[in-house]
Parts: sequence; structure tokens; C-alpha cells
Amino acid sequence: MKKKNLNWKDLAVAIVALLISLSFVFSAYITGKRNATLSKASLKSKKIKIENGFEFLNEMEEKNIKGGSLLLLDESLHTDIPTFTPTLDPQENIKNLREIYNPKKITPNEENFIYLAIIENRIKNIYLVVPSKKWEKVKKELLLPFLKPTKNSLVGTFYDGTPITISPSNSPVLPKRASIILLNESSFPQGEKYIKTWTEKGKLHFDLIFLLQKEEGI
Amino acid sequence: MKKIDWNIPVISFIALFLRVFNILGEVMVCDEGLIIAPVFNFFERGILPFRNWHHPPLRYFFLYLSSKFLGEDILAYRFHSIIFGVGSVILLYFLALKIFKSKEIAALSSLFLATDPLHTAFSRLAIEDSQLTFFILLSLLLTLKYSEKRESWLLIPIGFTLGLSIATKWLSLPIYLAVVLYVVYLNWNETFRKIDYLKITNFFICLILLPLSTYLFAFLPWFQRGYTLNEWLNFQLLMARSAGGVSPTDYGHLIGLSHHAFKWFIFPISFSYSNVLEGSIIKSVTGFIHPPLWLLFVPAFIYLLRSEESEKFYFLSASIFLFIFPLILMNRPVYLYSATSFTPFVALITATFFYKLREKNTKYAQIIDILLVIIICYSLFLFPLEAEIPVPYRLYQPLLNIYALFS
Repeated sequence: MKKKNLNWKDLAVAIVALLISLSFVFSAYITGKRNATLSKASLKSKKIKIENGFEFLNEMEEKNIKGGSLLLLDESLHTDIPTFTPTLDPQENIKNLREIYNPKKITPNEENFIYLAIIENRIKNIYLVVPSKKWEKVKKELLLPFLKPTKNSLVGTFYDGTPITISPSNSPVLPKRASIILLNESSFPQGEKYIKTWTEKGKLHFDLIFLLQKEEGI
Repeated sequence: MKKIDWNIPVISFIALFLRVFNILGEVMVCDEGLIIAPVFNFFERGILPFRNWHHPPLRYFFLYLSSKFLGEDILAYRFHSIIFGVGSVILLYFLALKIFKSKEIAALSSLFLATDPLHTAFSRLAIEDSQLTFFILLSLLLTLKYSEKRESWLLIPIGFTLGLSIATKWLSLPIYLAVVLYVVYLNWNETFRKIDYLKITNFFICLILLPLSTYLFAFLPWFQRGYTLNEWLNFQLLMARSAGGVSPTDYGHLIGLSHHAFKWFIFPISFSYSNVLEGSIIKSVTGFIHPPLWLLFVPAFIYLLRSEESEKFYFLSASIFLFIFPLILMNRPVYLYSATSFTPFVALITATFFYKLREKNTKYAQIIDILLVIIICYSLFLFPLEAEIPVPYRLYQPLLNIYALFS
């Protein structure tokens, strides 16, 4: 039987193409990994008490938390985006539109601090669990344009493509691993009990929990 | 000494002139603003633009580069579109030359594209359609070169270009399919029937892995947000769901239009951002379908399908079919932007049709020549509207009324 000669040209092409492909995939993988920094070394306490959204942002900055999955126990997303009014001058519009994305240009408040955490890259996806008693009300209020209702949740994305899942506490959709939990105790008083139950049942693993104990203006 | 082909510099100059003239005077349209505004934000922090996050992000790369190196002004924002627009005209010339081996067809089709009112208009704006057209034509040209030489190294630029085109807009996915099928067809007996593992692996890496990883690479700034590869895959599903869920009312208030792709071949359609009835100066009319060419496309294509027998033409036909049929059958609105990438096919098919007709019926040659001049003149007549050069409205009123009727 005639032995087939190895085609070195084909082999070289395959290797070069493979190397290019792998370098693309690895650079994406490494970029993602490098920027998901829940620096555990700096987490002295797993439970942090905060009084408002401003403190939440400060803590995130101090602990250098980036690319986290947020489990939010609340009845609101706190993602109000700044308003943009188009003018007749397109250059002016570009300038104004840029300010919507610029965290330094936005004053944090109770309605927008999660939005700021998103555009500061602290949070890469959100799981909002609302008290089941308030589910119907929240469902109506939070039906953003890109959220679609499923059987027991709302699934979709924020305006910039950040994935969001909203569900009631009696049938919650939880992340496999939440980097951060933010519990607003004033709107979800039973929150800690729920977290304890989910953790004990192995449904929830997390790195850090923020307890928002007083919701006042910043 | 090799004779210089003067067609290319002359047609390129015409294309460049039509894409640059009065570029600073053309008011920016809202869609440009929506692409330009988030560019730096995307590169610096990976945040995708609001509402338009479901588009693949390669459209920001060239815009970012030109803004970074040329500064932030209208010309810099539009620079890459102009280059890709002129580049597409040149590529179409070579594509036509490869398929039909006729300099006349190549020159005529690239001249049609150089002066085309839709392609010209979108090559003057900081919108990605001119970029997409360029990558589609480049991938087709490289594939045809591969079909001639069968040199395996060509698969690398083919795969890379396909990745770039998909990363610009998903609209090019059918072209990807056409290229892969054609390469498999070309190698069926030698490689696939005989099961040459090395070559099959080579095809897999170059035509599947490389385009996919190139597409993934376009998301590199997005990974700055800390996402994993698995989350990227999920994100693709979210993108598909969001892009597929666009309804006519989503952007209707902005552009007031919802087009079905089949209408391009039947009606004169225009794409405008502001009222054309304002005073004597017409403002912001962006793109026009060239009715004589688009109306002629279907009969010309059928005619050529019956008469042309080359393998390369079949590949071109398959690409055309695969490209246009999903668009025609699509349930979501397809705006006139998407027609830009199809314009080279219209130019190529109609130019070939005219040439063949002229060749066959020499006694009608003069009539056909006059017709060709009229077609080019019609394109040039519309040019002031695309470039926003002040023109007396009454001159264009009847024509604009017809366009307005169907748009």
C-alpha cells in the first residue's frame, strides 16, 4: 500500500490558523478573568452594613470589586439612567450622550446607584429577587423594553446588554455563584432568612453580602 | 511591461470624489451619533451602547481608530466608511473580472457601484454598512482566488475576513455559508470523499474556528467587564433574541420607515431623516434605491442564470440567493441600510446583463449605450441630495414625491 506523504504546507496552515484562533480566544478569556476581581484577600468581613447606595459604591471601589454577579434582594433595580434630550446640534448630542455613560459625570443617588455600579464595571449581571407579596406590582413596574416575562420571572437585559433576571422570593431564580448580595432590609425584611435557607439548601453561594439598613437620601 | 489598467484609478477617483465632496457640510444623522457616542466608552470600559447593544461590535473598531488618529471631527468619524466604500468599488472590479473575465463588465459594474445613490450615501456616513460590504466582497474575491489556485494558505485570509464580516453585522452569515459550501464542494472528491484528515482539520480550523474566534475577538473590550467565555455564549443568545424581536414600532418614531426587502426590487424607496419638503433646500435625504437597476435585477439575474455556465458564476448566484432570501422572508423589519451590502450584486448582475445584451444585439448597441448613460446620469442627478448640496427643490419635487409615495 502506498504511504501517503504528509503535506507540510497544509500542516503549517492548520498550525498558523489554530495559533491565531487560540490567541484570540485566550486574549478574550484572560481579559475577562483579569477584570473579574473580587479580591478575596481584602474581604475582612463577609457581611458589610451600609446605609445607602453611595456607601455601596464606595465599598465596591475600596474592595476593588469588578465584574461581579449581583443578587439584589429588593423591590427596585435602582438603575435610573440620566435623561438625554436631543438637540439640533449633532456634535452636542454626542457630547451629551457620552455623559450618560460617564460615571464621573453622574451624581449618585438612591435611584441610580446600581446603574453606576454597572457602568463602572462593578457588576456584570443582576439577579433581582423581590418579596413574593410585591411580585405582581414589581412585575408591572419593571417590565423594561428588553425584559420578557417567562413562567415565574422576567428575563432579559438592561439597556446596555447587562443580563437581568427578576423573580419572586417564593420561586427565585438565583445565580450559580453570586459575588455580591445586596439586601435592602427596608423593602425585604425577611431577606436574611431567605439567604440562610438558600445557602443551607446549597442553592446559593456567595462571596460578600451588603446589608442596606436604612434607605435615606444620599 | 505590464499595461496599466486605467479603469481602476479613474473609477476609484470618481468613487472617492462622490464620497468626499461636501462631506464636512453634510449634517450628521442621529444613527451616526448613536454609534459615535459610545465608541470610547466601549473601548475603555466595555460598555455597549444603549439599545443598540445587540449589534456585533466590530463597527466600533475602525471608527475608534480613525477618531483616535485623526481627531474628533466629522471627517474622522466618517473616514473609515469612505475608505471601505471606495475599497468596495475596487473589489467589485476585481470580482467581476474574476467571474466574467471581461474588463468592460468589471468597469461598468464598478462604475455603477461608484455612482450608486445608496452605496454612495452610506459610504459617507459613520454607519457600518460600507464596512460590511467591503468584507463581504473581500471574502468572495479571496474564495474565487482559492478556487483557482487551491492554495491552502488562502483559507486563513478567507476565514479571517469572514469573521470580520460577521463581527460587523450578522447580515453576512449567509455569505459565510455560501463560502463554506463552495470550498467543501471544490474539495469534495479530493478531500472529503477520500477522508484526508489533515485537510479536513485544516478546513475546520480555517473556516469554522478562525471566523468564530475572530468574531469573538471583536468583543475583546466587552470582556473588560469581567465576563467569561460561557457568559459570552449566553450573550449571543440574548443578542439574537433582542435583534430578532425588533418590531416596526421600535424605531418607527425615529425614521418612520419599515421596509420589507422584496420592496427594494419593485419600488423606488428612499431613506431620510428629516423632512424633504422644507423650503427650497432639501435636507438630510440619505439614501435612494436606484429604480432602473433594482427593477432590472430580477430579470437580469434570471437571464444570466440561463446563459452563464461557469462554476464561479454559480458560486456568485448561490451567494446572492442565500443573502437575499432570508431577508425577504424575514418577519422583522429590514431597513434600507441592509440593501447597501446587496448593491454590489445589483451593480454586477445588471452591468453583466447590459454587456451581454449589447454583445448579442449589436444593432441595439447605441440604444443600450444611451441607456447606460441615463442610468449613470440618474445616479449623479441624485448625488446633491445625498451630499446635502443645496439644490432648487422644484427640480427634484416630482421625483421625491414618487419616492415619498413608496417609502
